[in-house]
Amino acid sequence: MSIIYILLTVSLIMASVFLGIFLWNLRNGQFDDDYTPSVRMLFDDEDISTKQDRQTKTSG
Amino acid sequence: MSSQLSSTQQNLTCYHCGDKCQDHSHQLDDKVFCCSGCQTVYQILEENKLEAFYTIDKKAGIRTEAVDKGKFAYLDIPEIKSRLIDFTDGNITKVSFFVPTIHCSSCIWLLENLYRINAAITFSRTDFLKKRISITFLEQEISLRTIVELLTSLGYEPQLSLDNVENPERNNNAGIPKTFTSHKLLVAKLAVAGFAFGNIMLISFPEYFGFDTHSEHSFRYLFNFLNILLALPVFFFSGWGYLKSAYQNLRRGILNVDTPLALGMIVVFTRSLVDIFMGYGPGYLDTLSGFVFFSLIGKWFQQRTYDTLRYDRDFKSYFPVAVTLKEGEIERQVPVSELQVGNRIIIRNQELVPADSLLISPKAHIDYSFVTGESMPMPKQAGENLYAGGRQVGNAIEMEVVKPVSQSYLTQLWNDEAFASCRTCVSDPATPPVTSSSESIQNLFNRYFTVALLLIATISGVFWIVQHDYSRALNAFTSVLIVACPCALVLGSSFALGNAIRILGRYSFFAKNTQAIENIARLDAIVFDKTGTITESNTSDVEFVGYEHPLTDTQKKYILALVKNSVHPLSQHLYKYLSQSITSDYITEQFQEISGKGLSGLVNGHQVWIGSAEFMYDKLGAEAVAFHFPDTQTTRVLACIEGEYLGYFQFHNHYRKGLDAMNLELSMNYDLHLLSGDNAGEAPNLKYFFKDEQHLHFHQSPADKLNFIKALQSENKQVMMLGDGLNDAGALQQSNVGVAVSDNIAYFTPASDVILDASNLWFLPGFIYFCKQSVKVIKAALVLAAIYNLVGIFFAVQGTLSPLIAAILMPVSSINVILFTTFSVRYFGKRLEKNRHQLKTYTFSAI
Repeated sequence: MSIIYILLTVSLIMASVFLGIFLWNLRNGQFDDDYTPSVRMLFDDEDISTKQDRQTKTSG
Repeated sequence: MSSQLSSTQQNLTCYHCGDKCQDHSHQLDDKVFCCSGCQTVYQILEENKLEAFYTIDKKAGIRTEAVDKGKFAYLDIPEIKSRLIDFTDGNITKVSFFVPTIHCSSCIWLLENLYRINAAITFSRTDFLKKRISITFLEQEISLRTIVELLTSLGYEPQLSLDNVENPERNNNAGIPKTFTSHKLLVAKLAVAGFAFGNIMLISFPEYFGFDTHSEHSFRYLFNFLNILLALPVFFFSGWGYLKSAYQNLRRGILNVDTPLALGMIVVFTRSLVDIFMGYGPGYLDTLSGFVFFSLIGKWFQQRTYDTLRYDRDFKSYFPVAVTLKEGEIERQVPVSELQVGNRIIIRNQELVPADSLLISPKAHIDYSFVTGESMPMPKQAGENLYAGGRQVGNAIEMEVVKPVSQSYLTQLWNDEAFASCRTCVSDPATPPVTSSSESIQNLFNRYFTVALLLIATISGVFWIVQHDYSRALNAFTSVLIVACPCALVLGSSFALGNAIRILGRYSFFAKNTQAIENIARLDAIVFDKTGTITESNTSDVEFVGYEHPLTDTQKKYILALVKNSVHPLSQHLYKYLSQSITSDYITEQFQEISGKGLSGLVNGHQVWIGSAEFMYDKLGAEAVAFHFPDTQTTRVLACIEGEYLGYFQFHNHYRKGLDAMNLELSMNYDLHLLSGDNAGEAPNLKYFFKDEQHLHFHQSPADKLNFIKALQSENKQVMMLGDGLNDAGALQQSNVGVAVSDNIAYFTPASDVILDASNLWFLPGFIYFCKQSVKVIKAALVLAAIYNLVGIFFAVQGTLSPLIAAILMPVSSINVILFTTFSVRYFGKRLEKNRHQLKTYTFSAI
């Protein structure tokens, strides 16, 4: 039965990691806007290359 | 394509905005536009290969008005700019705006493709629900002003007002995403509590179902240790807010909702620690985390807010950010807050007068509907006083500031009257606030609940002490406090009212908080403002009263040709009215406009005069005595062709649809009143809506309105005030439920408890009925929760409450209450929809 010690610890650690990820995402604003992305993904990007160029420029 | 064009000739709609087009005057690439604004937007999009805008959503465009060149010049002022910008490193700059006109997926697409129109805009993101756009741009290549002008030219004018310039942190949440706002903090607390609740419960199961004997001791030790570890963040992070609030209220001698919660938390936590460390048992840690979790759920549900709406606007939200200052011949932009007495300023068409001023230009037309409720713009002559809040209609005017912004008539009123009542009840606790009777059911219940709880706990404790069973005495005392935790009670009201807010929101009835719903349920009197609330602003019903005969079509054409030349609002109304039935190709010669009096001109060789009685008097002399009206209450415009008097046009307010049915239904249960800043000209029409003339009150200044509400309240009445403009702001604030009625929800509304879309005003009785039913649901939920509590207390007073019973009873009662309230409120919501549908067919088919 001592396997319980290990199982319990592992499961708690895993659950804590998930909680941590959730809090981290919450803080980063992942859940701020849950509507616009669903519309955005439907747009066709005719000239993806230029858009990506620009984005790398600003972030770099 | 040409065949398509001719087939749509009868019903021309603008390719950009979908509005009706008058003629073919704006045409490009086989496409027709209603105005040059729409055509320009199409051109911009076409040049930048953004025609896809029109394929994503049909008729997606927003009709734009031509923008004055100098309108956004103030964005070049460094200090205003720095307040609007979220971040800048000298070149890469980030800014975010609130854009009320965002309404469809085409908008999102266009706004996120701004970089294709101007390469200096490197990135743009929209948040559809918050109607917010964040833009990253290169400041050395494009200025903030150019960006705002670009957005405006496309129909997406950002809302920039003194208010968000002065409180940048308030609207810049989007700009600084890496912090916890209060809402996010609540979600985080909820997550932690839920996590701990689930785990503690699982870990506690073996204890409840029994260990096998040989591993019992070591497991119990580990499980208890883990439980304490998990309960610590629940107590010190998730539940801390309750403890803090209860402590703060207790110090002020108030028992609020959080008192029994905090009391329960402390008792459970200490008792559990004692039990575990002394080896008495496993403690009640799952109960602790459970009730913190459920209470937070209730709070989270209640905290639903409408991000795009603001309920707390003050006068600053209405005033422009900057104004054009004239120094000699030089014009420059200054922030409104820097205006000084003696400054000369220029106000353009549709701009607000920011401070009380003296008119220098020869004439002006000031629309005070926002301030006084007077529905027609007033002509002003040079040298007259203009009050802040008025809106110029027509050409740009020049004026001299006589009072600083902060001491203007309107601002004074706002500061002294409207909020004085709030200030006195906060600073002077001896006199109970006027709204004391509208305390929430929850608070009322809680006050008695806490007292009753302590009483039961003490009595059962004392009972066992008398029996000399001391350990059981302590056990019973603490158990009562543990089991009777009020979270099921809290949940009942949060879920019922939260759901009610959500359902009402579907009908564009946006309540500020749950308290507003409760207050609506116990109204006695309803007070309406006239202009803009029960009448539609910017439209009037025009009626021609012929002197001898009605107008012939030719006469109408002459008049139409004449009024076409004038920007006076009455001429505009008349133009709109006449152009419904006829069109006129005549050209007016020798056109003359005499300010505040009338128009004259030669149409097709005929002398046409249009104007006031006084104007006709000047023109016709003694003959005009015949049409002197003793009661010039209503607005009238007289018409004369070739010296022959034809009759007059009469302007009536245009009442919103369904008003009569609504007032009939409301008048059965409520005391209805009308407060108007306007004259009594409409009294005969209004009498029909409000029973008799005693319920009509005209010539009411904003302060009169406030005092009227106060007088009603002193008769112990719960008053709802419906208004739309700044002139109602004081009354809205004073009333128990202030409802701002607005034609365009995203735009200006005064501070209020509820924001209601004017198109749904007719269904007000349904909304009130629904609020009443929601409150009934709460009362039923309270009974339900009380039954669960009584069962728990039954065990507790005997000192036989086991952790298992507590652990089962608590979540079961909470979930039960949640389900009960949610389903019953939804059921009433469905009934609301059904009623609305029936009433709509009935009301609108009758018209």
